[in-house]
Amino acid sequence: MTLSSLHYFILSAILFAIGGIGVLVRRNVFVIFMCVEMMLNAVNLSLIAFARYLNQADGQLLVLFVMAIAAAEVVVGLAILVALHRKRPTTDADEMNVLRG
Amino acid sequence: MAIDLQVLAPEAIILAFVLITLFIYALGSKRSTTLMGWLALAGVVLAGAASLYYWGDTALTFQGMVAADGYGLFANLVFLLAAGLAILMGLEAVRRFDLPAEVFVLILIATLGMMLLGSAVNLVAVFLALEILSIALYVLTASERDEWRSLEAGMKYFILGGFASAFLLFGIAMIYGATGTFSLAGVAAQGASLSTLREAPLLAAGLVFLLIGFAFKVALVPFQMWTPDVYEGAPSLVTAFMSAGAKAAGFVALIRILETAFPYWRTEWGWALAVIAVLTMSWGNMAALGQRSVKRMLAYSSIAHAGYIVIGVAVAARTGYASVLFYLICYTLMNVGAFAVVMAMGRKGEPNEGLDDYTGLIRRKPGLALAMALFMLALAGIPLTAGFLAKLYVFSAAVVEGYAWLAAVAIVNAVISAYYYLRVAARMFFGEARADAAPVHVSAPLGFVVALTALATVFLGVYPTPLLEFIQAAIRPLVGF
Amino acid sequence: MLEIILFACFGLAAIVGAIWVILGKNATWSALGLLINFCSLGALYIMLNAPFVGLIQFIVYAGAIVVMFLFVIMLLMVARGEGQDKKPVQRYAGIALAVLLAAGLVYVAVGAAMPHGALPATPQDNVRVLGLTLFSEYLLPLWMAGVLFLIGMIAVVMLAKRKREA
Repeated sequence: MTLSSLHYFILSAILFAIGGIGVLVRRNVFVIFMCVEMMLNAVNLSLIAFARYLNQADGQLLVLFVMAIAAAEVVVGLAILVALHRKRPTTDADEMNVLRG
Repeated sequence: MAIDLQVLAPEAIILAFVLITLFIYALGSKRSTTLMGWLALAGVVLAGAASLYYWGDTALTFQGMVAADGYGLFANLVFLLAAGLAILMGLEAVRRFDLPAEVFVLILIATLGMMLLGSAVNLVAVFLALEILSIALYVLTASERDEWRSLEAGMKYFILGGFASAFLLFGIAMIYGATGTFSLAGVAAQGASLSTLREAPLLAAGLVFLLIGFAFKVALVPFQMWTPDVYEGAPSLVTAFMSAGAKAAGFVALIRILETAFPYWRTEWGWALAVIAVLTMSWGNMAALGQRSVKRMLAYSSIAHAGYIVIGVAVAARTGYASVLFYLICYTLMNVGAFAVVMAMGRKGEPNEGLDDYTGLIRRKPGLALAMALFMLALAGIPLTAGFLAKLYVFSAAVVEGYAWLAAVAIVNAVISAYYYLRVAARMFFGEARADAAPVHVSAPLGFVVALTALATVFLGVYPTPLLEFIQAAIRPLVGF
Repeated sequence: MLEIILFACFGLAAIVGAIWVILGKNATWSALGLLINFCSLGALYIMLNAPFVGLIQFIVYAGAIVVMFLFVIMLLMVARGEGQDKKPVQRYAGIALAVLLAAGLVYVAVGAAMPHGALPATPQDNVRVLGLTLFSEYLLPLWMAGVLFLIGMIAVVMLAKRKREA
């Protein structure tokens, strides 16, 4: 048996799903936020694996861009969190009704 | 190297004005806020002029990352219209609601993201443009930073937006895995050799994830749950800007991606979108019926309108895409107009968004009440307004392309929606205003926005021909048939 | 063979880290799980002939991003536990949805012709190839990434600064 992109893709799908569970189930905004980052990372694994087995550089480049995006996103998210906290100290997402229809 | 900066002139102009306004901001004198607003507006106008100037040049640039074709340039005009109106509203909002001067810069950056999204023909560029747009909007949503509900809305939008981005990115990754390329034309070339969905499971799954990502971003059922809270919590000018501009950008990019990269699966995604259209418009209208807050009602109504627009995408034909572009322009006008009125009603710390606050407005502010009534009629789709023609073109495209049942569902929906739109109008005309109703001020820029959108709504409702011809020319490079 | 063992080890570590994040009692614990997850992924990248991206993964994700998370958690002193979890119904629905999603993806992937084989690019060429592609083909996305950072800066200045008048 040799490894192929299939194995990495399955791992990536599992990690993506775990991240998704975290977003749907947890209430702590920080943890939800980390789970979103984890989902992006899971996708990165797929991209790198595809790039490796397609023998291309493109997939790796998109991963670099995703890292740049994630960095910018984390900065913005934490800035909003700090501003929120200054206004009223809580981190419960349900108190903020994140998923209220 | 094939890098031709000229064809990206509109984007370059916007970027230049981002830097200029930031520079003024850094100097930071008392007067600089207003100056920044006017500069941002100048940038928008210049970029619009550049888009018109380069009209007709079809060119790929940056190694096939973006296409400066008629479709992208026309889309630019829609985004710039929304941005220009939002900046005008911002000139008032920085004073009335104490919004920070950065909103002007962020509106420009978000517009830049929209323009790039509308022209991108490579999935990497699509993703980055979408992120520029989204991240700028998260910050804009939270920009009324001494209001809890604005920050809260920003946080919500941020988390669910990030969630959506992850889906979109996974879709892109799967498409890459299946085809080995990010370029839309490359995906089409690879995909064309596979005739059915079953032959290319990975590519099909990638398309599904991509659609989920876009459905989140343009708020289609069942991925709309963030919309009401975010639209209600964001400052009105931001809500107007994102419900018109960002939604338009999402649809423009969606059409380009589906039509360029997945033309061989028209039937499949057409049907999927048709189902989503039914769900979206029905859910949006049902939820809007019971709303007591005009702003929240407009948020639900914006979901319903996204449903109507999806019909135009779902029919997957030239007439459908043309009707979508026309709808986007009309929706931008009437929707931004309505939100401008909502903003005019509010004061710092007192949003005054309830239905009760609008009661008897005709006697307090006749001009504003008439304009709001016009926007409500237009959103409901009453004849002689742009909203009527917009709906007419979408529905007739559906009938012509064999989706008559979809048009029928949409008409039923439009009739239901008339109830909650006309209720606002009725309350303004026939109700008795509360004695303690807050005074309403309309400043020059805000009055200009309301007047302009109202006039344009009527004008397009009566004489749409030039715009329609313009649109026909614009979609020619996109659709070969 | 070695490759398979390494894949299993790091893959398992990544999954353990991920589960750690979603089970963590408080945000600080979750951040630790996140660190494990990010580091194992970095190791997998290096196995996949992407040493440069792997290093960046360690520096940017495991270094900067996790540290930034911890810093803000400490700054706001919110390392306490959360009240109650979400309603069980919502919890099980969430888990069921995610498991379905993963199962669907695995089903799709097993049935698809996934990329395999191919000759490995020589690792020492990696950075050169990346750089050349980045600054030619992907120049526009590179500029767009610059705009993203600009938004980040504006956001921090706007949201975190205190009002001048106050």
